[in-house]
Amino acid sequence: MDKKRSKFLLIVIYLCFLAVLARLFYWQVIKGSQLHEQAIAQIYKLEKILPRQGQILSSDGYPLSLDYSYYRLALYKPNFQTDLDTILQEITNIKPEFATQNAKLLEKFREPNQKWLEFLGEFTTSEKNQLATISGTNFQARQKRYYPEGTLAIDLILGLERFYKRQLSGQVGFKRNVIDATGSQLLTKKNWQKSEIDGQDIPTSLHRQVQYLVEHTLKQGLVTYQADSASAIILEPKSGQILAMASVEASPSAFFKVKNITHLFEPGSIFKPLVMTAALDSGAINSNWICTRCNQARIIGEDSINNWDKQFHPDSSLKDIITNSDNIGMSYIISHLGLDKFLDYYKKLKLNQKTGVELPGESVSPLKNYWPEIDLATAAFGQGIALNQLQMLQAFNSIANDGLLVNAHLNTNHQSQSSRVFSEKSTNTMKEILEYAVDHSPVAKLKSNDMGPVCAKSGTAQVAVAGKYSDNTIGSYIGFYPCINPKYTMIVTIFSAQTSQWGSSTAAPIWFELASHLNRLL
Amino acid sequence: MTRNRFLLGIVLALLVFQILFSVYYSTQIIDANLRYSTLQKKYNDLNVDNQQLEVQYTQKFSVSGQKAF
Repeated sequence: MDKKRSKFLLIVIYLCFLAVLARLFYWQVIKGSQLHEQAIAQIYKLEKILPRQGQILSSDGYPLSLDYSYYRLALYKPNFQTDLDTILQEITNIKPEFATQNAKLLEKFREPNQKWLEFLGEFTTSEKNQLATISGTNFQARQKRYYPEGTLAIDLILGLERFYKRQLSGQVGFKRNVIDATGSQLLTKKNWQKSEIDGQDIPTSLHRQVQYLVEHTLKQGLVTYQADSASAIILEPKSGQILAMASVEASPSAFFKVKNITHLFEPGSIFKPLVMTAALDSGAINSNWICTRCNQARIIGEDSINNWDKQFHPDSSLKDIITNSDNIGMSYIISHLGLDKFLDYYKKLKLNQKTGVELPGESVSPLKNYWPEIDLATAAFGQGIALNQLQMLQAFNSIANDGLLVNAHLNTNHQSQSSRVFSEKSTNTMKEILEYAVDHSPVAKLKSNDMGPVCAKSGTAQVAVAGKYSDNTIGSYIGFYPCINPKYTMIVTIFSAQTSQWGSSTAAPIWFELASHLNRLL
Repeated sequence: MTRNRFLLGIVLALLVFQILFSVYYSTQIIDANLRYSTLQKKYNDLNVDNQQLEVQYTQKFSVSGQKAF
């Protein structure tokens, strides 16, 4: 009987042992990999380490865009030790706007099946620490981009952020921690971390005060001249650094764009000094050249070239041609220069290529292959060619910079690249002509009393719509100050002004208004 | 007999030592973990505070006077 009992017990033990073995086989072999993954997920926690994004800095090192961290509150009902209203009261004591700000979310949260919800609102560290003691509250750090100057230079800043996305973003880091049952981190050798790499700051040449002044003055100009839009750029002549660049519109579009580089326009008469300097530099004309055929309109085939005021200026010198903005005289000068040399200078001035400024969306017009005589003649006064505003200013700046063309740029870490386009002698002659033209034209009265010699030129171009010129015009004023060792080169362009069609009556007053303030700021 | 008692004494002493050792060092490890968690939280808070101070600085020296966003 005892033997039987002991045998039976032994069999039961064996069976139990087999059952345990079978169960172990099931867990460890059949379900092994699945449970292994679950175990890893419970033990290890993989976290992203967000890098600090780089800042866009102005010329004085002020951050124009930076990261801003705050805490966001989430509530988890199962952990509540008091009712929701008591918790809300405590939150409202610290953040009075919380309830109104989250009215809809709170309504949703009160539904019985809604156990967890994240709410709107930004909490500071001290607010978070006060509320973190309440059971059921949970705070998550969040980050957003912050623009301390509001809309000032916002298109430029957003453009720079897009252009330098990789450098600004840095690299995300990862952290794998061993955690205990409560989710707290355990310090073991199994912890692993790949550190984040912070984004690089981008130092720019943007001068905040000048940028503000430009935007403010352009907005005023828009109202005064009832224009569709107005743009301006200010460069530091030697380095090509952009001190300010702005474009304002009467009906602002919701889309990001920097009109100064995205919009192509016919430069009109502001192009004349470039053609004249090229003619002087190539030796096609000398500084004593006189236009002996300027006493009548120039006829080319079926077309005639006339002056803006239908007046003729016989025996005009170069100074007279620029002062009177004489299209006829300029058409003869470009004929002396010739197409090949004109195109050669056009390319040297980089008017056929992008400026390479660190902003997305720059437009450029390809150089045409076919140049009938009339097209070359009209190119002398900036018609039939299309440039963006920065291209025009970059090229014009070569006169201010004694014949050296420097690349316009915003990032001050960039080495300025320069190439010689004109000789110093030819730019000096052009400076004398421009100074004379300013002093002997109606714009001279716009100069403030304390201003020295200004080298500048006005221009007006008609707007081409569907292949024909419309009544709308683009008025520009371009120049540098002072004529010798200039501190800045500046262009102002007014699109479709209603009060006057001439650049000398719209863009020039804005140019001189800005200039009167710039002398103090730069 | 004496030798057995001696061996038993050593075993018991080792057992007590192991228990005390485990208790002592596990307390140390828990303390270190807690300290680490607290410091980590402080570090994160200071990071956030630092960024908020940076924002306050920029607000103070803004030239446009516009509302930032």
